[in-house]
Amino acid sequence: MGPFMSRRFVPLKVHAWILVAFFVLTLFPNTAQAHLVTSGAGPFFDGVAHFFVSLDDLLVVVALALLSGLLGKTAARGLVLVLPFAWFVGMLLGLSLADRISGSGWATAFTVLVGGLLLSFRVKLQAWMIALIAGMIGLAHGSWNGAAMRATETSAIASLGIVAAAGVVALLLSATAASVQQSWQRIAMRVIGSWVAAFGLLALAWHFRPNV
Amino acid sequence: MRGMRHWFAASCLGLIAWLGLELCTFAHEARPAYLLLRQTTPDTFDLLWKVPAQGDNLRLGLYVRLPDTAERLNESHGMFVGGAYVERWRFREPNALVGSTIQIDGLRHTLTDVLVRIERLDGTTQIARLAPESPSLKVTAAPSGWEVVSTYFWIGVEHILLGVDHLLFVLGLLLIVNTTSALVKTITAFTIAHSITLALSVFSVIHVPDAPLNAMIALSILFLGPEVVRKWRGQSSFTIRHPWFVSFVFGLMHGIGFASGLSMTGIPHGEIPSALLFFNLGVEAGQLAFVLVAIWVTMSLRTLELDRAWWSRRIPAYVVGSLGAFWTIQRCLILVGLG
Repeated sequence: MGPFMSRRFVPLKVHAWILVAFFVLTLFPNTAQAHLVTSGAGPFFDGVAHFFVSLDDLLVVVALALLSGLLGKTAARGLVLVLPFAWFVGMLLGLSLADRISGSGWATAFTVLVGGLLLSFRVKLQAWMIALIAGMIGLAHGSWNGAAMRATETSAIASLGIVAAAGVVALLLSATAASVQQSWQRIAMRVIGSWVAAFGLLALAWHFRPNV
Repeated sequence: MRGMRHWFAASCLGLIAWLGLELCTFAHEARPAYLLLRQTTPDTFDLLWKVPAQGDNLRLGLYVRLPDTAERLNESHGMFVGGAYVERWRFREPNALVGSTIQIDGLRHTLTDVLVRIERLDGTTQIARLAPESPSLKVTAAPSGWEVVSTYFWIGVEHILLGVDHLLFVLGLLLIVNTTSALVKTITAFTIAHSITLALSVFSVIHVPDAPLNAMIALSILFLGPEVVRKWRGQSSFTIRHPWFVSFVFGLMHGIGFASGLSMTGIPHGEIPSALLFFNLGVEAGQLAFVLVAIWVTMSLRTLELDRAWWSRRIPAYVVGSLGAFWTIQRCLILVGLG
């Protein structure tokens, strides 16, 4: 990208306002479908839309991105570089091994719970550990997405939409968290982590609810 | 390291080639179908059904399903005209369709939209855009102006977001501008230029055949590739010094391209101004959203100090240049009858 945005033009306020707008928008979702969304704008945007309405995918990326940003730029870079690549590889695996991948319900909830807890406690992981977790999460969620796409005979180009959405969200949120200076803002991000963990816990409980 | 870069470049080119092929199919299927129902007596309608054609004798598998109370009065007459399959017939419906549902069979299995227009004897119209996720329409007695506005606005948004070639051109411009003021000037020039030719095309003042137009649009994207490389090398050129001018000149062609998306819907003369205005506003909204996301991504890369990495500069430029080259060759082959 051209250098029209020099470093002094990247104030925290801009990131903060965009972030607030983003979360306000997510409070008013248009549709809440699990797999796989039809946006009406083609398979790429179907993939993008799928990512944003699949809370288990979205929330785990949000949690990891904010955590890596809070842990510093090195950790954030690790996440940004590894997560989309791992997600893409996972999707290829899911597409090719769809028959052998099933029963991801409790596992997705578990990853969301873990991501939320890591963020809410701001666990001081080293950069390589963040990259490792991002790789595992990307592979796992990507393979589940891929298997779902294969089952619903969705165009392969939707996978690019999902990967692009995951990568962009990881980049934007980790950069926002990395530029946070004030303590109350860091606390606010950890509060988001507790909400994510609560969602994961509820989803996990729902999955293991007793049959009545 | 050098070997890794070569491997990376080869992988990127492979991915881009696949993307190009996928996006070609994607762009073709994005053409909308058009259904016009014109009321001729209190209980009869003339029906015009226009479906995107595939080649000279194939059409998309889309079929109009009228309510059971509708009675066909004549046989349909179908023909392939100007890249579309068009058929007409007349039917009678005792309630003038009010409260009934019109469905498009097969729409769920496509990527295309259907623009439906119902013209009544009292001069009122109802317009709606049917999509794969909502393939039916309930006919109302008195349509609101909001329906017209929202329909054409969303067609505009969809057209720019699906028009990957238009977005790549805008991305190429973003890669060569130097300052925020240059960015504003460049995007404004593109907006003004494509608005002018969009209007002129819709009012039939100018007409450019699709094949040369598409080749020129591809060439405009390819043109920006070397300019981005010059920018990396710290060199200067007329385009780098005056990106707004290049944006304006090529924007004139992109506007004609936008018009083809609008004209496929067969907008009626009575509503050209409002349809044109809101279609253009939709295009601007989609373009602005793309530019804002691109700027936010740039800021984030800078914050994480990833903007200095060789790949963060080269990937967008390779995508612009390679896809521009791919489309230029492909569309030139079509132009000379080899595609």
